[in-house]
This record gives sequence, C-alpha cells and structure tokens, in this order.
Amino acid sequence: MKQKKSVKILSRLFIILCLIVALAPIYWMLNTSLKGQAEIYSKVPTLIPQHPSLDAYKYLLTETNFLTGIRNSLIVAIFVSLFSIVIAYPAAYAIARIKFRGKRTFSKAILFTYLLPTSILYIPLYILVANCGLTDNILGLMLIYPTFTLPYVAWVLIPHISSIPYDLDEAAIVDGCGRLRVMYQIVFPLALPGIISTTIFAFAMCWGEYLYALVNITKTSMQTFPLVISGLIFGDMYPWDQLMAGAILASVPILIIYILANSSLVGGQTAGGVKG
Amino acid sequence: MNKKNTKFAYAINAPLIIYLACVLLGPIIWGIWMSFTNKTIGGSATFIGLDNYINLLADPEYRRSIINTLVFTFFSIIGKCFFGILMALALNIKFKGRNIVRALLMIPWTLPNIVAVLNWRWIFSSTGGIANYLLKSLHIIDKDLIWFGSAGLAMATVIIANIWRGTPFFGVSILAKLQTISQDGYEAAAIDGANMWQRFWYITLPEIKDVILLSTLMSTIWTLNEFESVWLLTGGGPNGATEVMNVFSYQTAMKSMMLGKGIAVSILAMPVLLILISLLTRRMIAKED
Repeated sequence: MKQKKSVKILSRLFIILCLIVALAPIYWMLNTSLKGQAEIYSKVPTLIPQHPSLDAYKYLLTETNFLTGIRNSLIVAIFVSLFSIVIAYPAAYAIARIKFRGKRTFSKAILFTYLLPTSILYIPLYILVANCGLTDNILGLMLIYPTFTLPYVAWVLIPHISSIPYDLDEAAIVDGCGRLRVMYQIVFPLALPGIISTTIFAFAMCWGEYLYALVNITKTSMQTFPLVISGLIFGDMYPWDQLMAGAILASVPILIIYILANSSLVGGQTAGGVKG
Repeated sequence: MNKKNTKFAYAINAPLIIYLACVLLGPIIWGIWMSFTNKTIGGSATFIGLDNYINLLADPEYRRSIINTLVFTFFSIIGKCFFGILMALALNIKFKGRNIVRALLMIPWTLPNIVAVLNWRWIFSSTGGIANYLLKSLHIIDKDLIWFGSAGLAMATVIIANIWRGTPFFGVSILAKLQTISQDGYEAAAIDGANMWQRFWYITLPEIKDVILLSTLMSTIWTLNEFESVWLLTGGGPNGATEVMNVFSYQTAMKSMMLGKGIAVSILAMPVLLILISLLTRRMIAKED
C-alpha cells in the first residue's frame, strides 16, 4: 500500500501544478488590468498591484468603442445561438428518434460539417456576405455564424435526445398525441438541460469568434469585441492595462454562463464546443 | 422505415438542410470554382485553369507555411495529449473538491481565444513580460529574451499558448472514459503484484486508447487550421517563421487581395482534412450504432 500513497501525493502535487499553470496567467491578466503604466513596466513585477486603480477599465468603457463591441457581440451571439437551437433541434430529434431513408447519410453530413474547420470557409463566406451586401454589418455575421453552430448543436443534441426513454413517446402516441406535439411537448422539456448547455456553448462559440469578424467587418460601429480589443494592439505602444481590462471584461460573461452550464447536468459531451 | 416517417423527418429537417445547402455547400462549390480563377477583391474572375495551384506549389513561402503548420501541429498535439492524459489520471483519483478543481482546470479552454492569446502575448512581451522575469530570477537566462524576435522562440510561444488552451479538452474527454472503467481489474492486478506502470499499460491504456485517438484526430483537424492565435501572437513573424497555412492564406487573400489563390490554399489542404474527417466520422458513427 506504500506505493498507493506515493501515487496519491504525486497526483496531488501534479494537480496543484496544473492549477497554477491554468490559473496564474489569468491572475496575471487581472493583476495587470489594475495597474498603472509605470507599475506595469517596473523592473520587478509586483504580484499584488501597489496602487490598484480602475483607470484602465474606465478608459476602456468611456474612451473606446469597447461597449459597442460588447453590444454587437451580444446581439450576434444571442441571435445565432437561439436560431441554431430552433433549427437544429428538429434535426437532432429526427436522427435520434425517427427511422427514415437517408438517415445515416444525413447524420454523417452533420458530423462532417461540425468537424470542418471554420478557416477553410472564410473566403467563400466573405464573398457570400459581400454579394448579399452585408459587408461591414453584423447581419452578415448572423448569416454565416450558424455554419459552425448548427452542426455543433445538432450533433451534440442527438445523444441527449436518445437518452430519453422512448416509452414516453410511445405512450403519448397511444394517447393520440401528434408527432409535433410529442417532439415539442414531451421530448423537448426532458431534453432541456442538454438544450440549455448546448445553446450556451453555441453562444460562447460566437462570442469569441475572430476570423469571420476580422474578414467581414472594418467599420468601427459594427465591430464585435474581439476586433475592438485586437484593434488596440496594433499601435506602437501596447496599452497592456487596457488590453487586460478588456480581456477580463470579455471573459466575465463566458465564465458566468460556463459556471451555470457546469452546474446543469452536462459535462464532457458539450466539450467539443471549441474548435481548438 | 416507412414513407410517412421519411416524409415527416425531411419536413422537420428542411430548414437545416436548406440553410446548409445555401450558406455552406453553395459557397464551397463556388469556392472550388473560384480557385481556378484570378479573382481579386473588387475584381472580376477570369478562368486561369490550374495556375493558382501551380504557383502555390512553386512558391517557397507556401511550402514553408506548410512545414510550419506541421511543426506547430505536431508539437501542440503531443503536448496537449501528454498533459491531457496526466491531467485525466490525476483527476481520476478521488479527493475533496474534485469537481471544483475540474471546473477550474477547464477555464483556459472556455475563455475566448483572443483573451488567451493577448494574455500570452503580454506574458512573453520582451519589455515588462513576466516570462523573462521568472526565467531570470531562476537563473535560467541572464539577458531578456526577445520571444517574438527569433524563429525558434516565436514558434515555442505559439505552441505553448495552444497547449495551454487545448489541454483541458483532452483532459476532460479522457477523464470521462476513465470514470467508466471498473475497479475490479485494478484490484486483481494489484493482488498479482502489478506495479503502477504495468497497471497503466495493461489496464488503463487499452480502455482509453479510443478516446485518445478520437480527441487527437479532432484536435489535429483544428490545430492544422489554427489562425487567430498565431496571427495575434506573432502575425506569422519573425520573417515568416511562424507563418502557418492559414496565416499565409489570410495574407494572400486579404492583404494581397488574391482571393482565388487564397482559396486554392484551403482546397489543397482538403484531401488531408477529408481523410482525417472520414477516419473520425467512421469511428464516431460506428460507436453510435
């Protein structure tokens, strides 16, 4: 049993190391966002800000169009994630519940599009958005973001729906319940925990999306927040306090919904939400 | 499998199919055609046959970008997989507060990519960056390193940033599988005097082999196509040393405005992607049945 004990200690130490590696950079981000320029570039970095101030946040919120960026990102992410669930739920339901001709091909196609990297498509989608006259408009992003959220939502929902006992559907059908009613009034509420967390991950995918936004949007009033923050970086002097303040502010909504999603039933299955 | 079922299934799937046909399939087909033209931003497209492809294959910058992509992907995947397995094994041992620790370890992966990237850019900054300070205080280096100024170091930073963000995906996927392994085998092996390494090699590894393979394939597809972390960390520099395939494609299409040639870059990567994706599809769908 001696060996078991040493394994235990080793694994604890490793976990502590993991925690430090995972969280220290995030602490450093918060730390920097609270410092002034002088302290940021001081010879010996300070682990705790000596003169903590919210100046960087104030500057970011009042002097830049960061808030516009957050608003645009919110609009796009909320619209696209809701749209995705409305369109993808029936597809996931059909694959999980109905035997139909072409089902295998259909589910293969969904998995295929889910695995397809977004960067493969950015030029054709750029031309599509331009041809629709939606360049420099968040409507253009709303048009193309579902290309990656829809297959993701559909694919991840299939096992959630399959895990609901089929007896419930049968009982409802025997009682004379129509198919649409079974789909929306019986199965949908039972699949709700999975649906909510999937929607949340779809939201997160849109929230931080960079490439499509970079290619399609240049007008400042239409920029999403990743463009606003990265716009600050290409100057001569990097305003690290503001950049880190922006990074912190942009992470807050994601962390909140992540905690919410984590406390609902779903774990590993939604893990494919980030194509990283 | 009757007709009525099929009709109903297609009726409720129609919106998804129509959307994907118009916004995904249509543009892909169009993109393939576009890669045989000299389409520029704002310009018209004339058919030029295989010229884009021939030019690309003859272009040393393109060939270098492919090599960079392979190097970047290889080391990132090795790192993510290795640390992911360790993380899963460590988390598989019960302890108080395990769920919270698991959730905390997931954070790097849930953050928006741009946030993670900016953070690493600051950490590795040559003026005021904490990486240099730490390495100096540990006496590993005695002069500030200019991380984004030398080819090897710049590549190291993009790989480190990618591993940091991608490890939890492996960790959580493998952990989910680990938790389904029954303890009986381990107990029997312990009685037979198997050591830790033997237990891992003969009991654990065969069980998690599949999920490791799946995660690796998935992550490979996405890492091969990484754009934003490299673009925002190094911009492909110094002198193209970290210019991966998609940074090259972006430079070609959006900076030099040669859309046709830019698409050709993606199309040339397609065969490899199709092979990886179909390997994955086969395994994942087989598992479903």
